[in-house]
Formats: sequence, C-alpha cells, structure tokens
Amino acid sequence: MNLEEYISSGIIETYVLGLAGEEEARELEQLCLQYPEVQAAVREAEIALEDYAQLHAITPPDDVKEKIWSAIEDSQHEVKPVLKEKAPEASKGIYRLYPFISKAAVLLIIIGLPYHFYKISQYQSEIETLQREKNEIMAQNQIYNAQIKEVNQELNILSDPSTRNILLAGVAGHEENNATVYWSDSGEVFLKSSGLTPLPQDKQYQLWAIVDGKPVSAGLLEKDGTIYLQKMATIERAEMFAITIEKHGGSEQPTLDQMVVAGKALS
Amino acid sequence: MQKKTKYSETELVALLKVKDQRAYNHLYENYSGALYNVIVKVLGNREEAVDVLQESFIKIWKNIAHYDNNKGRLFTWMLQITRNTAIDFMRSGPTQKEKKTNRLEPNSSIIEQKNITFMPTDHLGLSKVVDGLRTEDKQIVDLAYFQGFTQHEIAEELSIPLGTVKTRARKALIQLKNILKTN
Repeated sequence: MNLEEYISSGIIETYVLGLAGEEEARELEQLCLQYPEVQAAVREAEIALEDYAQLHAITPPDDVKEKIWSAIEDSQHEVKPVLKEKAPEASKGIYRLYPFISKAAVLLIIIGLPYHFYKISQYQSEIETLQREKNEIMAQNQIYNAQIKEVNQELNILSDPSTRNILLAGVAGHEENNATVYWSDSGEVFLKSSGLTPLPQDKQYQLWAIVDGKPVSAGLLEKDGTIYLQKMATIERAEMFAITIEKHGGSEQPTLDQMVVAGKALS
Repeated sequence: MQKKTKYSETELVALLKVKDQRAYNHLYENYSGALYNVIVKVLGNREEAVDVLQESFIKIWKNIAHYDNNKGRLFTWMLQITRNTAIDFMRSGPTQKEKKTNRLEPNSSIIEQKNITFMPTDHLGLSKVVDGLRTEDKQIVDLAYFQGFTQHEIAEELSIPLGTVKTRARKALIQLKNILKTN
C-alpha cells in the first residue's frame, strides 16, 4: 500500500469528522496501529478539529462547574448504598420462597422414594450376582493354581534327563491306540493317555506294571479325558507297562485278553 | 486558544483514571466550553444544555477506564460522548421537530443572539478562522463534527449529492488545518 497516497486520499478527514463508513473506519484504525505516519496524520486532523472546537467554546454558567462536581461525587457514592439496600431485599425474596422450596423438596422426595427402593433392590440383586460370580471365579482360580503347581512339579520331573519315556504301542487288534509312560528315577509314573479310544461308561482303563513277571496295578485312568497327564501309582521297579480294559472300578488282576497297549520299560 | 495546559494528556488521563478532583478541574476548565458549544449546537441553546453537560461529564468520569489513547485523542473521545448524550437527549425529548430548524442555522446565529454572555473569550481567533473558512466548508464541519450528522443527513440537509459531502468535508478540513497552522 502506498501510505502517502492513502493519507492524502481524504479518508483521514472523513474519519475524524465521523463520516467514514464502518469498514473504512476499521481499516484506518488497523493502519494506525501498523503505521505511525497514518496515526500522526489522524492526530493532526484531530488536533485541527479540537482547536476549531475550542475556538467555538461557550463558557457555561458560573455555578455549573461546582454543580457537576457534586453530581459526579453523588453518582460515585450512589453506587454502594444502592447495592446495600438492594441486597437485603433480594434475600427477603428468597426467604419468602422458602416454604415453597421446602414443599417442593418434600414432594420430590415422596415421588422419588418408590423409584429409589426399586433401584436399591435392583442394585442389591446385581451385587448378589456379582458376589456369586466372584466366588465362582475365586474357586476356579484356586483350582487353576493347584493345577499349575502340580503341572510345574510334573514338568520338573518330566524335564529331568533321568526320566524315561516309555511308549506303549497298540497290540494286535488295537493298533490305532497308544500311550506314553513317563517314569522317573524315584519311581513316579505319569501317563499320557490321549491316544486311547474312549470307553463306554461301564468300562475303565487300568495301568499295570509287570514286576518280576507279575502284574502290579499302577492305578485306574481318569475317565474325564481332560487330564493331559495323569499321575499314577509309584512303581520302583518294572520290566514292562501295559494297559487293559477292565470293568468300572478296576480289577485285582488284569484281564489279559483285554490288553490294549504295552511297552517295555528299558532300564 | 484558551487552553491552559497544566498537564500533558497522558498525565491528565492518569489523574482521571484515579478519579482525582484536580483532573476534573483541569478537564472542566479546558474542555467544558468546547463541549458546551457542541451541546448547544445539537440542542439549539435550550436550558437543558447544562443538564446534558452534567450528564456528559458524569459519563466521561465513569467511563474513563475505557478510554484508549491508541484510538484517538482524549478530546475526541469526550466530544463523542458529549455529542451522543446530546443527540440521545434530543431523540428522547418531545421537542424534536422544533430542534430540526435550529440545527439548520449554519452560523449558530441563535446562540450569538440569545447567549451573548456565553460567547467565547477568544473571539479574535475565532473570527479569523471563521473568516478563512468558506461558509459551505464550515457548514460541513459543524454538521459532522459538532452535531454528529451522517453523510446522508448532511446531503439531505444541504441538498447536495452524497459524493460531494466527502469531497467538501475533506477540502474543509484541509483548509482548516492550513488556517490553524498559519495562526
């Protein structure tokens, strides 16, 4: 923008005379902030008009100076008393409203009570449900903790290099079956039985250790099928392990024609 | 010039903002005459002129905190307040019509006739300036600056085209500046 051109365009004169449009005035005020030259030109025009106004001055009557000053003082003092007087009035208004407010409050409480009781019983039953669920979860958690502990112990045994893995392969007629016995040095026996065909309700698998040519029961297999690895009876010495199908609850002696899998315990 | 400069504008504004009576005295002594003239111009020398002057001073006093010297000189601000107070008074008053004719007087002859005791003290300076200004220039300045007429109102009042108002206003002000400079 060419400042000189702007300054001499007449806009400043129009502005100080109060004849500029809103937009023109805004622009000029903005330019005043940016350019001291523009502001100086505006000031100069203002001073010219101010002097012109002073030349036209008409002295007001003598007593006016004092009169206005006391009016100014009164107007300053007025402010505080007015507030002081009004404050109690306003609070009186509120006091007058108290009976209505309290009645409204009582009404609200009466209307609200059934709702509150309903809500409270709802919350209570929710709390009971949550409590039950919490107990169940806690119990489940205890089971898991016990299982983890157990599994850790088992894992220690299984990962022990001295623990032997004995594959029990399916015998003739049961070729599709197999099981694995993990046998630690100290005689602990674990059985992985996931390779065995599920049995009917009245039957149960039983593990046998053949010690000195005689079968010794190493325990019944759990039927729930969720146990990956089952701990069996401790067997200190054995030549062989075998699993037979027995009646539910097991047998004293193995039903040899019901043998499913067997494997040699190599020592 | 009848200005008795005891304070710079900055000092004066500072005194005003703490509401010091000395500031009021200074303000009154230096500006009441010029402001009173504006009121008389708008009201047409009614007796209420003193009331309007009082109201204007109270407004100035109460609003001094809002005065921003970046936006203009103190006098310009005071004059705007005074002029608006006077115009508001006229609009709310019942004698609006009567007023209109008074405002038409280009040389405020009514004031000179009726209010001879209130004539400016610096009469010589005024006549020089007034002589230097053409009547039509003076009219524009008086209507716009003293009476707060808009461009439209001036065009209507003087029966001149709208565009001419601006051109003439500018010429008038330049003329005025030149006269005041040489004075």
